[in-house]
Amino acid sequence: MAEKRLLYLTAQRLQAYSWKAGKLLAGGTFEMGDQGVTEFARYVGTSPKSLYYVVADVIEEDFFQENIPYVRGKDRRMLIGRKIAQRYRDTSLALALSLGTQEGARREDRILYSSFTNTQPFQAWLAALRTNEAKLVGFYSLALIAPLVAKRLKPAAARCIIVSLQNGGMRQSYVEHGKIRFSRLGRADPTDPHAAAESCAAESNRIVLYLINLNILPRESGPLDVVALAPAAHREAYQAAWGDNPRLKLNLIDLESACRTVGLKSAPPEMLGERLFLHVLAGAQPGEQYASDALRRFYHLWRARLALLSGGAAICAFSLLLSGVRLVDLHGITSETEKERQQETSVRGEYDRLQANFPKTPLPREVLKSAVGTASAILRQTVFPDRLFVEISQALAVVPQIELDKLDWEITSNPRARAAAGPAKPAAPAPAAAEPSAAPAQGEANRYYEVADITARINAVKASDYRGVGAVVEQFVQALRQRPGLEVIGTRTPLDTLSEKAVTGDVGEQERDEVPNFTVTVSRRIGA
Amino acid sequence: MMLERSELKRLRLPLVAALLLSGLGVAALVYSQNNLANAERLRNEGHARLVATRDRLTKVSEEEQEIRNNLVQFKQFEDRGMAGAEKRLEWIEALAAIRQKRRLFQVQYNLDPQRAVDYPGVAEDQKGGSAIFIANRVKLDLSLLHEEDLLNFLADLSASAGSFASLRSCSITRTERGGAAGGPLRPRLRANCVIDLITLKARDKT
Repeated sequence: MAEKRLLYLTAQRLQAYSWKAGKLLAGGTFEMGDQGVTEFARYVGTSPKSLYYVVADVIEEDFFQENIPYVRGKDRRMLIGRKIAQRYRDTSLALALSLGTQEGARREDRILYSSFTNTQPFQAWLAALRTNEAKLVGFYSLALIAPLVAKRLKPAAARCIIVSLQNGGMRQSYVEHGKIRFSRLGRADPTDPHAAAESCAAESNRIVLYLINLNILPRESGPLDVVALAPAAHREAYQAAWGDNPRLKLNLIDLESACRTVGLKSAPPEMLGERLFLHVLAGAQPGEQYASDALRRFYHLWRARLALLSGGAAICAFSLLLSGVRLVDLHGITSETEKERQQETSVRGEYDRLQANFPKTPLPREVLKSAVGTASAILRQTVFPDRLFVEISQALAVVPQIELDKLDWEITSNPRARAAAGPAKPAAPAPAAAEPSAAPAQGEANRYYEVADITARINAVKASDYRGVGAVVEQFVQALRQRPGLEVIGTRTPLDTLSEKAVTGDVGEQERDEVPNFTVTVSRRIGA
Repeated sequence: MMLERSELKRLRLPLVAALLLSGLGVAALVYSQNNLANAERLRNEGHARLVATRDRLTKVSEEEQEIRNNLVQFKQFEDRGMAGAEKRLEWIEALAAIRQKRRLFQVQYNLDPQRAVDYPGVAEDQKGGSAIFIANRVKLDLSLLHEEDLLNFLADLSASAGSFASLRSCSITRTERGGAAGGPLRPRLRANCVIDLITLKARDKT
């Protein structure tokens, strides 16, 4: 953590303090002038890593309130910038505080502008800081720190005047709802409690009248709290100076007690009220301050560096943490895997022990299983045609006019497809039959059929007697169909060819010698 | 607050450090993630193996019974000659013997090169080079007196060849009609048949 250096700047001198863990340590006093600035520059150069907080306590601090149209973003920044430029000569030390919005005919922002009417005395000190590339956190005033002090001391009322006596003089700051509205530095002798008390009472009365005249403080708001930070020994002097004041209500807080309340452990003895303000500033670091970005550029650079390194370190730390969690998971998974591997070895051993009692096989087991499957498939479709031939012979015996010419027999798994491709016309299936269609249905792929194409001729019937031929063939087909398990799946007679070719003939007395023939296809399921 | 170019240069070193730190973290993350994914994969594989082994153990009696059943069936196939080795010479001699025994007019044969049994219903992995059964296709051209000669021939071939014969097709054609009575016996039928003689492929290699 970088060291914090607080620079208390008055019209006469700059007093430097370092702050660490609630302790303020004197760093040096540098008088206004070239020699003081040179010594200050040397002081800054001794600790390039420190963070610097400048706290000005001068008379020239100015407060001015004005409403602006309710705009946001770039327009608001431009508008406020223009207002500041119109009012103050040096805009590098200026700020605009928002006091909230005001609803009326149109919505407006209440802005409190503040700067210094003369920034010339600061320039030498700021130049020394810049030359040494010091990290200026901000340029503050006691007035800007007063709301923080009020917040820490928790006064009863929302509006109060905080009065404190510093080496720079007596500072009176009017705080309303946690925001600074006005502040003034008056002269006071810190060594004379009575004079300081009288000055406090008189100046407080003047400020109240001023605030009422500017409509900052409502006229009928009742007595205003004045929080006076003074040593406990000065209590009587303050109460005596205060008298019976209907506008102001004195709330005297012991400075030592207040310092303890806010956590200040120690401070150089020559410090007066400023020690409380400097300690509160070092602990809180408020956003409202005067210095422009140009004056704070080395601080911004330091913050960017810090952000980069912190970001990288955070990513690295987070990733390492996540990796660590994963490695813990990995350890668990590896243990689990090893445990299961041991279980598997045990189970496999048991299986091998039981397997050793299996019967010996002539082939490896898987090959044996495949061989049995294949052999079964071969057996299912192996048959000799003797039974089918007997069935056909018995059907031929029923129709003696038929004389067999040729018989083509084969085994197939799809007899209808074969009949469709073969010489015989597919026959309408018998009513009771439920044979497969041309494409074998699902589940019928393992059914096999023996199929025979029977080609025969018909004696004692003339070729031109198509009706006679048809009747004989039909008689033969019926005889085949009566055989159990036999299916006629196709026929081809001379009548079937009538539509396929040119037909010539003589219907006179001369008859042709041609012998009519036909083809019938039958099938029988193997194993039926 | 916009930083100028010269100021950005001052941030070069912290930027490099931040990138290095981030890279280190990301590398650690990737490394641990890969290891974790690998370990999870190994665990899942191991678990699947354990489940499968347990499953086999619970079914060990079924497996034993299946092997016994397969052995019984295989014995039956062996008895039917399916598990025998290729015996081309015996087949040729058997054809001649049957012709002699049945007094057939003519038996012509054509023995094709052996090939895998590719019948419908045979598993696809048994149809290629990994086939267990091999078919030796025999194309027969027979001159017969009557159809019973064919049936006797087939029955004799199936019984005597020492192999399993699977008849695939047969075409019988009448060659002479109304034969002259009293003359010398002449073939009246012609049969063209295709028979597969099935053997077990190189049994010692399986």
